[in-house]
Amino acid sequence: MNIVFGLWADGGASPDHGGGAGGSMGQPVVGPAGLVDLLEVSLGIGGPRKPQVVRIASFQSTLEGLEGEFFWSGSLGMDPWSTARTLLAWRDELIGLGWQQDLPWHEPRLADLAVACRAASQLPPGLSDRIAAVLKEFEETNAPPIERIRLIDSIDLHPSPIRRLVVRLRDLGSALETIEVRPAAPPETSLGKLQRWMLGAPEALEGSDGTVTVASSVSEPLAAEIVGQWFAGQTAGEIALVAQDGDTDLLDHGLSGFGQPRAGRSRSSIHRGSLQLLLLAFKSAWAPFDPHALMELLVFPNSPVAPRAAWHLASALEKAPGRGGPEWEQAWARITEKERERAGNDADELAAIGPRLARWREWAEQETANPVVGMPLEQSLQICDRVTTWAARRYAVTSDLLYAATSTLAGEVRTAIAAIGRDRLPRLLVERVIDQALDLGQSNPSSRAEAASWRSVPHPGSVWAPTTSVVWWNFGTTREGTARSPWSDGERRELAAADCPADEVTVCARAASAAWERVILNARGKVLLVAGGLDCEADDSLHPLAHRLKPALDVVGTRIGLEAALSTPALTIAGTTIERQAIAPRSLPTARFSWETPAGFSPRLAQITESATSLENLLSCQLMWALRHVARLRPGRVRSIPDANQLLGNLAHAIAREVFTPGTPPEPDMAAQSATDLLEGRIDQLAAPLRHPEFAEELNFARRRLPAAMASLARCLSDNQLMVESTEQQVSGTFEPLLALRGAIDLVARDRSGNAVIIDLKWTRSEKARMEELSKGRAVQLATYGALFSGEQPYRAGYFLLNQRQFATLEGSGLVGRLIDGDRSFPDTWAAIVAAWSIWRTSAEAGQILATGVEGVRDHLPPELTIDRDVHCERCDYSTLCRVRGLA
Amino acid sequence: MTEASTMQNRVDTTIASAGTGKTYRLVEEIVAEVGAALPPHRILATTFTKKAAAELVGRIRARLIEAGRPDLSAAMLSARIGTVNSVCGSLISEFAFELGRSPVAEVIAEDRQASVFSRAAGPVIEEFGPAISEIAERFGVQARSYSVHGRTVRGWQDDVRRAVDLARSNGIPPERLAHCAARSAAGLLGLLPAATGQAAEAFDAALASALEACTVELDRNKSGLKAGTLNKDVPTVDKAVRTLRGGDRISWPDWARLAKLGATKADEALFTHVVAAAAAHPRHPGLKSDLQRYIELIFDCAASCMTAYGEYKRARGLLDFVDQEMLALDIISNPANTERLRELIGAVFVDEFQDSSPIQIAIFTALSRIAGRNLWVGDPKQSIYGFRDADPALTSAASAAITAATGGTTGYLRRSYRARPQLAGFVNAAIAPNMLRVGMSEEEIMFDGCERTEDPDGQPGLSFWDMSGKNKVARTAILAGRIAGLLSDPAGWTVAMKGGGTREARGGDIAVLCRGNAQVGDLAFALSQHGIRVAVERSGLLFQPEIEFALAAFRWIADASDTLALAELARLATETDEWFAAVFDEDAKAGLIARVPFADALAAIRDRAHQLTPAEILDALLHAETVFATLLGWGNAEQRLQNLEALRGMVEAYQDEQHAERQAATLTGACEWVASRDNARQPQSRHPDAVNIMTYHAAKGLEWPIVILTELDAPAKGSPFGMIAQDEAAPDWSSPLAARVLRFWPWPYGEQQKDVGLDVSAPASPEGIAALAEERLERTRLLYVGLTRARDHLALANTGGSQTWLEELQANSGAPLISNAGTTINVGAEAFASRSSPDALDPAEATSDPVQEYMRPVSAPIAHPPLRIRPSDAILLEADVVVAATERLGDRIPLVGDPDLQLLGEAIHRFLAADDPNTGTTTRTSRAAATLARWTVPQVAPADLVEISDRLRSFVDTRFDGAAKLKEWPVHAEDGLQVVVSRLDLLVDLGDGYAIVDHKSFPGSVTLDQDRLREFAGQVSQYARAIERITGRKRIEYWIHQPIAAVMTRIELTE
Repeated sequence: MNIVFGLWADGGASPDHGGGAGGSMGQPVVGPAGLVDLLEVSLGIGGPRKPQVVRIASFQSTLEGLEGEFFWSGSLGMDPWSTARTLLAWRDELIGLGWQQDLPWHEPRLADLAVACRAASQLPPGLSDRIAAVLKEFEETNAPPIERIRLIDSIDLHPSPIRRLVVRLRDLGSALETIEVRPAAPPETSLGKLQRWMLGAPEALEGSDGTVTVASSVSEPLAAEIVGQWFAGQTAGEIALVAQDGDTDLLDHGLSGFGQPRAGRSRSSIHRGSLQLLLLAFKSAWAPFDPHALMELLVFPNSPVAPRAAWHLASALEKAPGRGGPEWEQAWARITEKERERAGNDADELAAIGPRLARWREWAEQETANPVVGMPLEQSLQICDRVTTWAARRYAVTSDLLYAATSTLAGEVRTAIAAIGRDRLPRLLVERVIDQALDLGQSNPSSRAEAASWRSVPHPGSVWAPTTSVVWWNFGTTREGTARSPWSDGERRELAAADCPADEVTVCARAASAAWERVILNARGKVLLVAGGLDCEADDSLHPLAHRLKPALDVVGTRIGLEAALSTPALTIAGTTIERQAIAPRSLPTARFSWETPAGFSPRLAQITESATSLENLLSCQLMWALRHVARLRPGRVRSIPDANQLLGNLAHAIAREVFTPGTPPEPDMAAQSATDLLEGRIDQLAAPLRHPEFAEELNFARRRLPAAMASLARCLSDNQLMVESTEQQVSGTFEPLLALRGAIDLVARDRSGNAVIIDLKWTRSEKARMEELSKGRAVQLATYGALFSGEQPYRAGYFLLNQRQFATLEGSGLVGRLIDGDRSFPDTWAAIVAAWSIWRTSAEAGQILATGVEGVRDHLPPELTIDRDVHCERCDYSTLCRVRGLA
Repeated sequence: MTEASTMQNRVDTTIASAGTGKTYRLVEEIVAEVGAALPPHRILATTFTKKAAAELVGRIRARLIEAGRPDLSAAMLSARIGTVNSVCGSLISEFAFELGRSPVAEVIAEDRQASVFSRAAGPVIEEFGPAISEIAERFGVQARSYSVHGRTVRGWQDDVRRAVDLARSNGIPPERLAHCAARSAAGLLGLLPAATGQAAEAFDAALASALEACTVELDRNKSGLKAGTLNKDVPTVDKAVRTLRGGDRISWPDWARLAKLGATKADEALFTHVVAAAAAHPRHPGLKSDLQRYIELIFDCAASCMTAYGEYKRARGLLDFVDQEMLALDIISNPANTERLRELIGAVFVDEFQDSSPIQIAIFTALSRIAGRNLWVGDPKQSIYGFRDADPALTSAASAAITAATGGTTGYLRRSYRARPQLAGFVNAAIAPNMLRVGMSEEEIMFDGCERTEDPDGQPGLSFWDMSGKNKVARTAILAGRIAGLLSDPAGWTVAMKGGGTREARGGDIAVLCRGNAQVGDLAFALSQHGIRVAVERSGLLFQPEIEFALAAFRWIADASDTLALAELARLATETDEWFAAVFDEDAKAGLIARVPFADALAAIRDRAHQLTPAEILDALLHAETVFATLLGWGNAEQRLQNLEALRGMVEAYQDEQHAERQAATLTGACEWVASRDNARQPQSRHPDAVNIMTYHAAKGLEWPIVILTELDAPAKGSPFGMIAQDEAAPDWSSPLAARVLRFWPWPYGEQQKDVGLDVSAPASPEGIAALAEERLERTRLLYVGLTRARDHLALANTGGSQTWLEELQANSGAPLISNAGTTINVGAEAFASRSSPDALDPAEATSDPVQEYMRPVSAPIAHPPLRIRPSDAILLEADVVVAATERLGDRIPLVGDPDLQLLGEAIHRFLAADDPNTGTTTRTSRAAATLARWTVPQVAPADLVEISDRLRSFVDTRFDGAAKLKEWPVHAEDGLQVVVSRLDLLVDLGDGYAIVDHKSFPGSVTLDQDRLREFAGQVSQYARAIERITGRKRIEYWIHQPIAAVMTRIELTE
């Protein structure tokens, strides 16, 4: 066999084989892993490979089993996994140097490592062990299994184990030659000049002819698009595409977008969709319960809770982020009902409902475990099993390897946590185990290279022969070559004395540098270096080779900002002219206040029942009301979980409902006590986010203020000699043609004479807005509830501001509280509301819906409008549609 | 002398004024050190930013190449050059075992620190919250900070966090915070009037009774009250009365407000008693006890938070920047590490030492006991990070003292390579008196020459630009108009070129320096009114239509129930109102989908979302057909693409954060995370015509041909209130953290800033005087930084009134130094030629023709076959396949049990590949046994494996008459644009062709149904074509070798 060997050739090389045109037999290009595999096969050694995580776990177990004090003892106690991983790397390096663990070592760290290595007799072999095994076989071998080895990298740049292997092959008779790197481009070209300058030739650097192009773009997608176009313009010669970091996902969009084949390289990532399910499953099983985590699980692609059920649960979480409350239970009841409807009379289907619901409940109603004390082992194993089952089923249906990987991941985590041997597993430990099992993640199983006349390589070092063009995609900074050696001078001396010297500190940096330079030297015609990203031209974003070449590139390089392609019909890059197409200008959607009423509006409106809130919205902005209440446009689920302040309000309302039962109001102290008693349970049911440490002060606030607020409300009722008639009183009615209304009044009370007092509970930071409503006759909610509850009968009403512990009502009401001199009575306010509703409806039917937050609308408002409310576009979800937002 | 001091090495210092070639000098020094045989990996150099580090490394490497040392240049990759934190991080990693820490330290990103802290500190906040909040509410302080009118009002949790941060960054342990509390309280309470002996209740009662009486009077006079009284005073009294009636105490801001009632003369008398009672608030014992208790609680809470935060991080293996520095200091200071450290670090170079924090100074000092060569380079005049807790006084004192104490030399770089002589002279004259007065020397302060020369016929470099106007908007508009005027007269504003000569100015030559981001934004807007490009990060990234558009698509992929996102897509993607009609359709969702041109493409991305990362999903949606055409059609394509790049960065950042937290990265999570960052900024333009606008702080280290300094009227605010770190005693350079202490003076009056007593007593206190003096000095340094950014033209923008900041540059007499004298700008007695400012253009004069922009031409999608053909996947359909021959090799090999067939196959393959019949049977059998053991298939006897090999050899030798056998032979053949890559089990060279032998180790015999035959035939066909292309030989035999069944079968294709 006749091989080409390079340090970076395992992931692909250019050329991709060692023969001539058309192909070759027995002339592969291999990297270290390929070479060792090839030798193992020829020698009949080697065995099934164990993943590195298994090796680390094994070494960790060895280290933990050692008795005595070692230099790593403290670190092992703190982070066993990382400690084992680091020490294993050191051990592997020593094995690669050819050290003997059985020798007496004097340097303390080497002596300690020798103890660990001797104890690690069951450690699955790594690459250096396999090299050592090959070398051992070679001790008894006379003939080389390989006739000829062409080295891409000079032997002095090889790390010790590889170097010793290659030297041994040479000694056995393999013909060894280093592929000479010469300037491949003609000397008169800029590229030729650059190459000769790199090799130290004294030729003057002058002129740039486009054969060396450094292209940059703040926008990586733009860079990908242009490189895609550039490839389309290459009709002759070979191209080596260097995909730094081995990923061409973005570039592939650029290539395929212009009809070019994809390079198909996908980097391993732990962030791929289905891999996340295990993390999510555990996340929603820790205390405090995290509604966001459950919501993410419910809307997860191919969620284990079927969308038809997940929808109801997500809805309940939006309204009351917690579990066990009325909303949550109602959601389950609805799910059950829908499943029964779905099954119809099919007995099998009906029988399947129970198990199906139980399965969903397992996902949605996991017990939460204390993260510090830990989750019971059994529960964590069940979580892993559930994920395994889910992923395996998905794999069976789709044959998608990522599901298989997810299933394997859950299986590995299960094995690992079972092996830990603890009854309870703290959160940190579980997350660390998952993190380890995830390792580097997975690449996209759907990515694959498409047939092309060019080749992509993941590292510049694997371009080993002259090629017409080199394109270096993602020519940006790298940590390559910066690794530092762990060995002290004393250790180095002892290793050298034992005939297993450590590599020079700089070998890694020099090898990387040589590899980077080689790809430039191998270009015959042109080099195109492409960097993208916001900081792509900043010093710390540049590839070290850019620093290295800078003095020459400043003279012979052609620097192109690819943004130029946005302003020109044709752009020449590295000798290829790229035609661009004029962009048809489109007008930017601008803010508009007037919208023609669509045909579907009225039929929809006829179906809706208004509420006090929807009327408030109508009086604030007609368009917002139309989109929210008539069209029912709504944002996504996760975004809908209320913030801490809203949660406090919801809690206050829920508690008030229970504290103030019909009859005589409780004594203030009793009200406070009841609130305190109820609070913690209701938080879990309705406001679980408050349990999270980030909201510690909001939780304190709830504990401090809610009982006080209830006491104050009790005092207010008592001061006014009111009896509680009902809380959450459902009311409905129809006014005007088509104004159907429904609502729930927070608290209805009666005075001694039996007159109704309507109390709306409010939780706000500042009382200012509510005071203004009363004073300006715009208290829509109070007026609406009054009309719904009392009809034509007299009533009194007011806001009870829970946070401020104030009852605010209109002057002249005869009630005790903060009395506001209002411009209108509540019945007058109601009359104004009804009139306004009618006006808005008429105006919509006449063909126009107005966005009242948009500048210029004032002159178009119906002049007879009797009541309006402030517009708060900054808080409006729909301002992206009227375009009051985003005017740039 | 202590042991430590005997090991002290020399420290040299270089004071480098602005633009005097500091980086050049550092490069030369490091190159010289490496050239003098110090291995590059023993170099340690710290810089203030990552960019500076990269620039330094790049220049050193280039310099080494120039010097003919490419070997050293390559080796420089392993040098320890970076920010202080990255250098500390590398040391921690290398000494992790010595520290007993995890070898993989996870550093908490700066923008994640707040959330990590709040999680760690949650239980402590829960514990301390009630007690702190009780007092904080009386001080008008909320729990968390909030914004009002563009201003951030701090909450008490911010004070706790700041105490924690400051204590840590000054090396103050939690147990010392009680001392800090006592010291702080003593100082602050000393500013309040002495106690009168009157009890707190008496003060309260007096105010309560006055208020009740006042209420009665107000009711009685209600109808006659003036508007001012009704609107301001009455609500204040009402609120106070309500508070008292509710059983609560009146807050101190309300005491202060009550003390200021009666501003309307006509009603003043109604409030006399309330005012008298309330005005006693500075003497109220409750105020003192509240302040004392509050300070104690904040420090107590901070101490507990420090502990909790430390434990939280320790449990998770997390480090923040301060931890990195403290740990590095521990490593460097530990004598046990000295020997190893000396191996690792031979020379230390510190850049920008003046910006170091106290811990960093301690680190550099400790390093000077390790490295034989130490050089600290910096410029005390440019120390402007007081707000980030650098301590210029400590830093300057420490560097001077260590240099002197170690016998080091102090060098000065005074020759300007940046500024033209006129500007350098102006800076010397303007800055020197202030700096000299605080003890600096002329060498430290003044340029002593310039590399550039003045063109005697050239334009003067200095100018005053009038920008007086009635309000901020008008003033900004004038400045923008003048910049527009300059750009309309580029020939009048020439700038020097690097190689010599001059050229006309363009936008990118200009930098406007502002004090804060608000003015940066205002000016950017004003310039955009003139159609002038600006290079500035602007707010509102998420509100840009292209971002809304991309995010709407992202959200809809994440959650198909998000009809709002769908409507946004339809709204932005189309130019008609059809979307609006669709939302009211019976099936609104379907209607909207029909109106989004690329909805199918997005739905297809959703279908494969489980294979992609959130970042890949974003890229995929951006490339859905017509998406870019839609976005770019709105014009200003470059900025929109930059904004999208920022969005891409945010999604990557989300993924990184989730990884760091070991949490799931989901699409919905990404949507929520991005949406919550509504302060994200638009990246600045890179266009060469874009005018640079930035803060003075951000301008440090940069230079431009034309620099305009603004906000020279900004007043000094120096206040002793708040939390600061200081030295309790004179600092000791050898132990810079020993005397560090915190001082916290809370402001108890909320928004009430004036006429409360403390507003007068505090500034007059020694602490108040020192605070103002320190701020003034920092302002002088900041002005120096601004003045020294200019290469050719320096403009001072004058807002008309008092230029407070500029006037702080004073002669010894206290008189402002700089004055505008028409054709000259005078600095004291020295006159510098000046020029007139450009005329201010009106925005209406700006002409903006629509700019045609370009994109990639639309291209039809093309399906490409995969690059690699896998012969095992090939199924031949177009030819008939027959079994041409079957030969038995012997008896079937018995299997005991149920082996894993894949492993068995591997074992057989491996053995057959390596087996050498020339070695003895014992050796072969033992190798077979080893192979079977390694592949865990004991179900086959080793001797049987040898038998399999012998049978195969015998068959091949007989059948092919001793032809050469190539085992496990790689084949790589091109087939059009596709390639066949494989390794053949056994290839027999027939001279004019090959026999391919394929081992199939399944235990049964080949079931020769057509499907299986076609599979084999597919392989045959692929291999045959491949080999023919490579060798030109056309004769191929294809044999299936079944070692267990002991059968050889020849497959043949018939046309």
